[in-house]
Amino acid sequence: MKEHLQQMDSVDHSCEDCQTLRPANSALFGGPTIGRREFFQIAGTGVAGSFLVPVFSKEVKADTYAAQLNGKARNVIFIHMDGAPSHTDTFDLKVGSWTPADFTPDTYNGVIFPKGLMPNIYANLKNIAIVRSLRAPALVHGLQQTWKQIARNPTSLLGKVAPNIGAVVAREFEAQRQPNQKLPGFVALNGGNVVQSGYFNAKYTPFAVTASTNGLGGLTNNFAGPDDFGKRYQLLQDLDGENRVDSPLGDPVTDMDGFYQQSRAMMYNPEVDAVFKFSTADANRYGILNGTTPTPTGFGNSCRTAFQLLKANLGTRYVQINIGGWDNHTGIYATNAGIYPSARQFDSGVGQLLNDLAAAPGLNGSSMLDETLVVWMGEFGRTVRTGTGTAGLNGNAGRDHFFQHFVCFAGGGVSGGRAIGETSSDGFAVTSPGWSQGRPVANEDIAATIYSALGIDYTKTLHDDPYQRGFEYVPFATQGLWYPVNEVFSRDALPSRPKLNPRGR
Amino acid sequence: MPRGKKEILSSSGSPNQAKRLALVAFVVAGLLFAFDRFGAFDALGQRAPRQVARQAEQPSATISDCSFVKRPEDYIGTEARHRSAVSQMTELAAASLAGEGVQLVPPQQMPRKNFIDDLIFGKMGVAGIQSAPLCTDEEFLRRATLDLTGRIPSADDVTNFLKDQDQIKRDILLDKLIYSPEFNDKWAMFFGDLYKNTAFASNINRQIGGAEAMHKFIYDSLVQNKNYAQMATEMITARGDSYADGTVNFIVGGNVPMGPAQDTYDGLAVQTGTTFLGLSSMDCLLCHDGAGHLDAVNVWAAKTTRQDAWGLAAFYARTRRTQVNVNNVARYTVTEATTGDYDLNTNSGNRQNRTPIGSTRSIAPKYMFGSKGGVTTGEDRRTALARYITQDPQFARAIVNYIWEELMVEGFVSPSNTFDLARLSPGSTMPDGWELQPTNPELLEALAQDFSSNGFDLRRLIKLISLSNTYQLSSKYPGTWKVEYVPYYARKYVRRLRAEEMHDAIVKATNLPPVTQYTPSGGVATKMLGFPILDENNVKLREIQWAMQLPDTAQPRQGQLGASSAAFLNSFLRGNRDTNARTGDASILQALNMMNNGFIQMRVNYMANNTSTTNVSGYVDPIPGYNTDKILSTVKKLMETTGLTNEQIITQLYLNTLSRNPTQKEITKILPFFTPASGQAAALAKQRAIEGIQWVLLNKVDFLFNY
Repeated sequence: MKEHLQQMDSVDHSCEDCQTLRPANSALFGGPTIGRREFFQIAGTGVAGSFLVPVFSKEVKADTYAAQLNGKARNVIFIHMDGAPSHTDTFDLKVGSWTPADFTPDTYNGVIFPKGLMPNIYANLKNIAIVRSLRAPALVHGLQQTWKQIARNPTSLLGKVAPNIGAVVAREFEAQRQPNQKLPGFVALNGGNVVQSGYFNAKYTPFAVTASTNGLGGLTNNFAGPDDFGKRYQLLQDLDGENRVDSPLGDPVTDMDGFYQQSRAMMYNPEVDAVFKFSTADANRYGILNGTTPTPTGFGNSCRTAFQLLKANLGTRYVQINIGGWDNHTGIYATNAGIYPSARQFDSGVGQLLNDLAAAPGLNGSSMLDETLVVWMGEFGRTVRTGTGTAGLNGNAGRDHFFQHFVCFAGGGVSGGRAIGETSSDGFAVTSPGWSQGRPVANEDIAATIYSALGIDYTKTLHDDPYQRGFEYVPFATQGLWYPVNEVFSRDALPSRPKLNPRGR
Repeated sequence: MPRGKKEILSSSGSPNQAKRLALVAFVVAGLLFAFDRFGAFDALGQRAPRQVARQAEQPSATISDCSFVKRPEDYIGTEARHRSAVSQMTELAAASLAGEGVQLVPPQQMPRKNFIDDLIFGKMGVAGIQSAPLCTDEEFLRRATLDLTGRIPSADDVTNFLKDQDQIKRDILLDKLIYSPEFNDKWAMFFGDLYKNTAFASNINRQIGGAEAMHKFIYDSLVQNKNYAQMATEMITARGDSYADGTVNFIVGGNVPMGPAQDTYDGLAVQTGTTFLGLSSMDCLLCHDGAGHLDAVNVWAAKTTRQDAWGLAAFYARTRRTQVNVNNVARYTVTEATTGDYDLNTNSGNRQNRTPIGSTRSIAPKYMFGSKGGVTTGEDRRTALARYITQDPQFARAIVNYIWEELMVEGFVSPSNTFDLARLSPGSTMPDGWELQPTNPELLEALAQDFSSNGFDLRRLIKLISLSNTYQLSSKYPGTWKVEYVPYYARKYVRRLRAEEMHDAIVKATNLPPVTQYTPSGGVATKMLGFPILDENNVKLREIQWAMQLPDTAQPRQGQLGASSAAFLNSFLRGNRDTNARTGDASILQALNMMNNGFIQMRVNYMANNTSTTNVSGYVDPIPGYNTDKILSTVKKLMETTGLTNEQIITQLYLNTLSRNPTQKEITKILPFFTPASGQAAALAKQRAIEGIQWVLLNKVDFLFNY
């Protein structure tokens, strides 16, 4: 939180200023209020509770909120902008003396955007809903990266064993898997800090691979043909005993074999092989123009692979892609450096991804974009006021870590061409949350939105976690603490805060 | 607003600054509440408001790379997670192991080899937990060979050990292993991990020359069986050239860039505290007081202040490092200045501001633990620090715990660098809700005592542990196992083979080492077994034959000779000794690699050892045709040895790969593999069978695990 301190050191505003940044009556940054009584009520329901003294297991008798689901999407592509992009230079653009001329700000449907920096995204704004009232709970890369992937505080008890949202989605959709669908439900591309499957069975672990035109290695055994390989594999099963396959000792015990089974299913499968291969022309198209030479990028390759993974419909439902390089503490506007390389890769990769998704027919008569929710966000935003350097920048012509940031949704039922929520003229604080809950949006709300898009009941609690506390998909959602930003799905007037829906337990 | 802001005002003076600090305090209060809300309220469910006020007295927040905030799982709850993982993994592996008819043993009846057994089985007896039986000779041989030397035993080792009728043959074996050259390889890897010896770290590049020198220092110290206190002293007091003297790289590694010198003094204190005392909370304490931050994590740290921690960092306030570049590659010289202090005068960098406390403008070196001593006249600061560290009982406890964890899978204190000094001895008074931290405090203390009163002898310590019947228990537990038994060590816990162990075990089982061809600039190509260690300019420094001999997990480097081995090693998550720790996790990629990676395929296939490359799919490892007389793969040898029955072939493959004989049941299951398919030539059927069995055994649970 060094940058945070710098921010605090250099901004000469009082505590009263700061109070205005908080949601009313909230003692937690970016989080909604919860009373003391409720606090101890929900303390026993899962995520809270002391890891030292597991004594809270009080039944919750309070009224609960039913999930409000949109349910138009069947797949998710979650793009993690690793390093935290500057919100005021990208999706919450604030134009000022510092803004480089080549950003060429322009508006689409009243939404201001750096058209010059990201032309392909600009061309797709009609499909994109930008949520600008997002606040990060922490300014530490690792913590917040993990937080948003598991929809809860990583320091909480269940935070240690919580699965990635993608693993939850993979598990939810496991029952829909058809016999020919051999690919893991959850695939992670282009590295980065990817949370794994937590306490879930290892078959929901993200299959982390490198995207390349050559496809995936290791899907065949060059020496043993399929028949010989099958015989070998069978002998392995026979020798290691039933325990390897169907252990009486429960899920975790079969994990190791889970990896073998999954790997085996992917082998000698031309369909699977084809999913990971693509042409140089595609790689160039998703890559960037470097001078006049198109250059494939790891991120572009990953976007192309994500498209093919979903198009093939071989069981993958959730793809997480990492794109780094956004941690622009120094020289954010430096020529061909700073924010430019990441922004260009991002623009080309996501732009083409959205184009291809929109052009491809989906399973249910509409386009693939209609049934694929694409989400992108950083882990937090970057400073907008500092005292020393050029206006708006720090002493190194860069921007440091800051709470305010954005999240974008496209496809999967999203009604695009809009910005939801407003920030102050400098992007420092939320002035209008712009959604039903009337407070800034948090990580947990984004998770609820993703589940809502997929029609997954985000208030669900599983009772198979190792601590026997109950694993809530979105913590406290039944208490109405977090809520999906369903506004992204509808152009209509904002729905009012949903009524309490007593349904007991 | 918390009231603490008055104190801030009096020490800083400026109203503006007070405002800022007050704001910081507010943020901290918010974070505190976040912690409270999500995990850290006390036993009564009460939040202590005074924590907030106390916090404000030492304004603080976490830094962008605060290790606690970045990876809180390293600190909170890991103990339980690790225990549960150890328990489940052991259940899994044991279920697939051969061997039947073993029975639990009442701990009272378990023979005792040394005081370890007294304290382990005694405690087990009191708790009413039954012990697993002792492991078999085959199990012991493989386990000890892997743990002590990082390799699997050869087929001959197995048959000879089984034939040996000596009553104390296990004792004799341990001596043989402990004094073998492979022992030095394995423990150099272990200490390389512990000391984070890597050429390329995020805070500083030691460069290949530096990492090589540090590896040499570790290796040579092991060869000499250097007194461990001496080893630590040499590193803490190191001075000189980083390529010439490996110890210097310990100091180099403490560098913290982008900040004032105090950040590096702090970095060195953190490194010293974590490495030699097992106190990773030093990292937290050098930013802020423990109170209000670590209350839920560590009782000792919660009552320790940043000022205390500065006292430790001040021992490094005269440490100086200069850099020279030779051929564009950095090397460093570390010296000790005669003047210089730890000044409280920073307002930028990686840790929050250091401002005077009253009239105190600089911090004198003061050992924050136990003796609280300073520097004596005529003694330089780091010499004094080394003296305090090595005389501290915690020094012995920390290394004993690290080594116990290495051999027993589960440390007394776990994670092994999270010691809580206030919860170590049975006499400690602790706040409500806390219990003693080590799972067996008496044994930890006894081992630490034995270690320090016997010349800090690592070999003695390792022998003591591996000789105990506690170490020699079976991993099978023929009864109802509970995760609650883990702290009692009522069975041997299993672990996956580490990346290097896996690589070397495959090489040893199949008898096909990697072969690489090195061409020096303007010179003649030469082929070698294993791979070369190349410097930044691709000049060969030396050759190594086994992965366990690698100086650094960054070797072999990407795109360089041995890179195919490196990709294979990386999929087993060997970490980078910097931001990613080594882990024992599995993945689909590992399974795919074990089944299909060229590294495996080459070693299973009969043809791979011949001159043809046609079906090798671009794989150049080993180089076909290289010394085929000398390198005869296990598969090829079995194909070309006449007169072997199918049963003998199976047995030979088992001995080579799994270090044990097959059971009759297994032989029965495998024999049909030799039956030719219709129209298949007998020779081809035999070849396919041998290849297939070799492949199966490499993928078998008892190959993948040390059990």
